[in-house]
Amino acid sequence: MSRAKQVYDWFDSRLDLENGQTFLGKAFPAEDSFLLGEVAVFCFLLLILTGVFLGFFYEPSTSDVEYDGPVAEFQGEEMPEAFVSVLHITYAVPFGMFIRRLHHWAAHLFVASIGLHMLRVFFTGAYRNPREPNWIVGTGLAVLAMGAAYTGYALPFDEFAATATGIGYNLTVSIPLVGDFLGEIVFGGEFPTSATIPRLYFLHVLIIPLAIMGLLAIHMYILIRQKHTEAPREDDIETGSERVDREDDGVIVGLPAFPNQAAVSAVVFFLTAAVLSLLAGLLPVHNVAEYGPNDPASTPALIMPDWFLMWVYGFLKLLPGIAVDIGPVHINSEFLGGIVLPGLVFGAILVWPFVDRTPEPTHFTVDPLERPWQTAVGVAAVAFVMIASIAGMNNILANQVLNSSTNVVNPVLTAALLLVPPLFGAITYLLLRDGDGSPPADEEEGVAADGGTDTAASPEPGGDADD
Amino acid sequence: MDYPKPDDGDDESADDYCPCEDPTAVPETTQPSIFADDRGELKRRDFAKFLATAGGLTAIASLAAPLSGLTQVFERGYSGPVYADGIHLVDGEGQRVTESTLSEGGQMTVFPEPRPGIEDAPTLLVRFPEDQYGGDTNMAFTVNGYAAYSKVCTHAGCMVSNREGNTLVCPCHFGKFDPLSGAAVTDGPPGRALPQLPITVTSDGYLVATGDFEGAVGPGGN
Repeated sequence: MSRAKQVYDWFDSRLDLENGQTFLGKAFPAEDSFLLGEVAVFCFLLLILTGVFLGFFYEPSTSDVEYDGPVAEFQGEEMPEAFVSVLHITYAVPFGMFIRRLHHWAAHLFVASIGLHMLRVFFTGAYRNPREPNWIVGTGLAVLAMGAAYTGYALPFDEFAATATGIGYNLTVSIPLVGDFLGEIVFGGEFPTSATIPRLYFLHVLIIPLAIMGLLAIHMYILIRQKHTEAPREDDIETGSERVDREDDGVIVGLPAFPNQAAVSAVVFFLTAAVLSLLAGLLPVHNVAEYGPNDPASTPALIMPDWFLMWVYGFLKLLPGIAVDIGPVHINSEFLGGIVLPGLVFGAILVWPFVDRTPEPTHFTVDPLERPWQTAVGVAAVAFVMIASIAGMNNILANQVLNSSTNVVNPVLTAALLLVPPLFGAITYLLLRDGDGSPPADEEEGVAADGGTDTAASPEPGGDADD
Repeated sequence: MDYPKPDDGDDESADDYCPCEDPTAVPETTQPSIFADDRGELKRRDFAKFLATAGGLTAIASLAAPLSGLTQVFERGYSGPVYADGIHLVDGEGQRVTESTLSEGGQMTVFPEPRPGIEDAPTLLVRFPEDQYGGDTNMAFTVNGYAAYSKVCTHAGCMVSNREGNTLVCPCHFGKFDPLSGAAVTDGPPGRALPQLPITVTSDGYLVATGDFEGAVGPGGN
């Protein structure tokens, strides 16, 4: 008996590995777009690894200290300790600049891959019965990812970070009744106080990552429990010794977790890491030395949030000054634009599977071209977020593109925000409804899901079946 | 209530039978037992559940009480008066601003001369020909074409540090204020004008405040 076999037997006799091996046969449908979620998971992993590195050097404090380091411009200057420590990470720690930028780029890709993953799930109808719970968990993950990005953005305490954090503080305290309480809990009182950065740091490195890990575990558990969705089959499929009927949704056909999907995932991981390394190595991002430390008496002339918050910024820019008092409840445009409208958007995402209800469990994905109204809603939603994001950059549009002023473009953008999404939605609906000669019975998907309850998959040889 | 009982189903007549009434009437076949009366047992169990629920929730909720301590803030924002009568305006370097510092059309950021507790209260000082002022400008607060407004945007608290022609522009959400008309909002999301600061000139030519801002500084307060 070989040594390796002896070791294996030692563990097997204690952990019953032999029985656990069936899990290695879990089927992963071979669809490239299904890998977007994996990209997000790998970004999260890289964020943790690079974040641990940065945590060794970062000082969560806004007390002024004298800078002594390689950036001549700031030599001997009294600056907030957080900013000084980020300068040290960037310019004095070996590999520090690379790791910091890798962290920053990974954060962008994390949010981006989650967004694309959500779009994929939306347009292929993978949120339908019985997968509504996982759609809700996933929406929670998207919110947490944006929260992690926001709290992390604040930490260097440079000019941009402080401005963004200040806006976030003012949005928080604009919430009627509980705003001041939340401002004290999250920001440690009227921004900026000495408590702001430590609290945001704690949220960024512990609370939010733990919450993401928890929800991610639930997301994965539900995925394994319910199995993947699968694209409609063209025909019956021969798998090893057994034949899978093309309409049988009790079995998912795909690559076994090991070794095939493991190899695919390894490729995805290394591609993700490679792309992020390339970006971190070649494209500077958030150059704190150029921005300079927080100056409470000024705001940079050109300031805007990261792209994934641009739509919220657009709401803030388009809403005119409003102030309504209903008893003790004070409602103003910061609250409406920064809290209520984004809340409604995420609320709409959350309730969507219950708007587009599916009475029977469905295990095949759908071609978006065969679902006119759902796809129309999706197109309209994407247009809405895009136009709101353009409104977030109204000053660039007005001053640098159109040689105009924000007074002129704002009414146009407001009208576009209200009219273009319904228009795009209507065009999409009409095109898909009587467009390409597909069957007019649009509620019936090309391959009807058989509606059978989730009967246990018959064990599949060749590692093709789940469980 | 249909919780499983130890003797469920094997004695239907238990419902009609109460051992407390006449213990001697116990049939030979049925032993008196605390399990025999499922009404009594149910009540005890429900009561125990109620106690466990209430007690458990109370215990868990009491653990949450320290959370209220999280609102403790040790460094409060300064909320008293920022300017007062006779407080000099100083520039970023701490130099006192004189009547000749700005020419007409000029603009700068000034601060109240530092006193304990007040370090940063950025204020916009503008100078225009006196006859150009109008609208909501409080002329009694201006002096020799100088007017002073809070630099903190009334929308989301950014610094109103950009300018388009004679309009003050906040770079964050492009709120626009007209300094010639009491810094009234001319466009964008802010809900109210920037508060004006009453200023005058001392006999030796320095600009000083004659009181505090004419309204709340910064966001909210409208």
